[in-house]
Amino acid sequence: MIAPFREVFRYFDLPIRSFRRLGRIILLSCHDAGNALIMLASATLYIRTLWRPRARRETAMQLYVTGIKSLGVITVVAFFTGMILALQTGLELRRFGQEVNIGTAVTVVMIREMGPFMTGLIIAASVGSAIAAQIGTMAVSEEISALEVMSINPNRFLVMPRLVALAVMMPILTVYTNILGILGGGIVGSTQLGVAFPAYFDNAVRYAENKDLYVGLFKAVVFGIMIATVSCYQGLTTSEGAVGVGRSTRSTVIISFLLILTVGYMITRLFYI
Amino acid sequence: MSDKYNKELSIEVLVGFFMFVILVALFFFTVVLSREKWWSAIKYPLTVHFNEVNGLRKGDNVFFRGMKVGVVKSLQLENNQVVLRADLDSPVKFREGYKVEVVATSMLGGKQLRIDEGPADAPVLPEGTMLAGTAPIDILDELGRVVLDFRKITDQISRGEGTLGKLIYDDAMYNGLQETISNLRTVSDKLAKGEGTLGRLLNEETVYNDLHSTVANLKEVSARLANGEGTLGKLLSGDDQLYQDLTASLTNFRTITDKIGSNEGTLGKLVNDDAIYVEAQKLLGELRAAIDDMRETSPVTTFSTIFFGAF
Repeated sequence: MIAPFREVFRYFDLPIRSFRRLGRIILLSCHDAGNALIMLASATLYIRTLWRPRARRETAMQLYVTGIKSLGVITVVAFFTGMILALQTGLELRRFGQEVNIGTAVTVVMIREMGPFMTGLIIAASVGSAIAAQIGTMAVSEEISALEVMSINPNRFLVMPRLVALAVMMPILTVYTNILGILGGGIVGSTQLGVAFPAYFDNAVRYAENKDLYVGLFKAVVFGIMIATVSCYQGLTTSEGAVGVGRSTRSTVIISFLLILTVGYMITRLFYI
Repeated sequence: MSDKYNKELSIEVLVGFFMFVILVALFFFTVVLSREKWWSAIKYPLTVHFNEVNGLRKGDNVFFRGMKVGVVKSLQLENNQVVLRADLDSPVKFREGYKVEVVATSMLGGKQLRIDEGPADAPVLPEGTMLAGTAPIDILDELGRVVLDFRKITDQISRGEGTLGKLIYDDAMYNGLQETISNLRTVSDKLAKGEGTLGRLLNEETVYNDLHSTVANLKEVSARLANGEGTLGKLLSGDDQLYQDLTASLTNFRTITDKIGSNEGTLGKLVNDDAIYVEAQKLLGELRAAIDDMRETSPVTTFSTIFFGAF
């Protein structure tokens, strides 16, 4: 029955192998995605244990690492994002004598898209990769196995605090990013484009709506959950020593970035069209 | 143990403080973006009925005399009309001739409600009057119409219709124009060369000098007239002696003509009595007859003279 196909396979070896590789990648991705979702569901169920002293301390530490320790880079990125947005938009609007509207452009773009997007990228690159590296190192040094031996569920002990920290801190950091971005835009507006601060802020709040703000914050929560899930899963599934840790870290950043882009678009599509 | 506790405490305090600050900022953002003055208690409700609001939304600003005085609270469809309700920070007294309209905030979009209370000398509308909004002007719609009109014009031009179309597509006008320009060039060349009256006027100084001397003469004449010199000057001057003399002469002349008219004197009889004319005519007739007789008898006379002359 298979014999005739063998002849066909011989002639079409290269394309068949390519399809096989692609199929394997898709199947493995689905497998990984399924496992990651199971891990996420498990960690979510453990949120009920959040107020236990050890879980609370770990969560506070993760909130500190995710939030306070990321403030430096987020401050710079957010400030310059707002400044760049204001400068680019303002230079174009100036051609029509409408540079006073940069407040509107910067605010709407920041709170709808750039705030959660930039925060997500920074957190994925800094915190997500750190989580993957930390848990990955624990995995390759069999600390995870040791936890399981001690009947400590890694999803409860490692994943849940990070999941909560990222889900809570992402919208908080997004608000911070929005504020700094709008402020940066205002500084560029007043110094480079001749738009006074009161006019800038009056326009800034004229067309933005609460819906824009809260859809942006919803995105941030989703991004936070995604980053936590990807980084924890990549960490927990790390193998092959230090090389594996590096690979997990890289995969975490790449997958997080791709998810932030695609899911960000889908949420925008869902709420605005 | 104590250090670890202090470290954990400081981390928790730091995280808690940061979250508190950001949550306060989020609350402030929410309040600002809701565009409602939560701290302002007194509101003046305004209800306006529109046929169309052209995209005006809840939360859009209300402007009165160029100042923001409130926000749109709600927009509802009722009885084929849009009922707009707004909260104003200060009361507005509407007068006859008022106008409430939806206008674009800028070319980039956005709408706002603009209130014009009406002329200051118009009577104030009583409380509870149903206010009707003015139909909004859609800038894009108006722009579309302008573009359509412009397209019609360009179509006409491309078909060669109208003066502009003919100017662009019809060679006759171009040729005519070229001919005109050629003629103009010829004329200007002639002018430059000083040919013709105008050319000479432009190029030769003689004409100018003549004109100058003429003007000088005129000036002298006018000066003499002004001084009352000469007959015309005397006529124009304040002295009326000449006028009186002339009047007296005219009176005398009229007396003479009257006498002629009334058949007085020789001239009067000559003019009015035809007896002399009849006599003269008779004389002429007799004279002609005498001449004729003489002509008829002249051969006999001549012969007799010659014949008897020999003796």
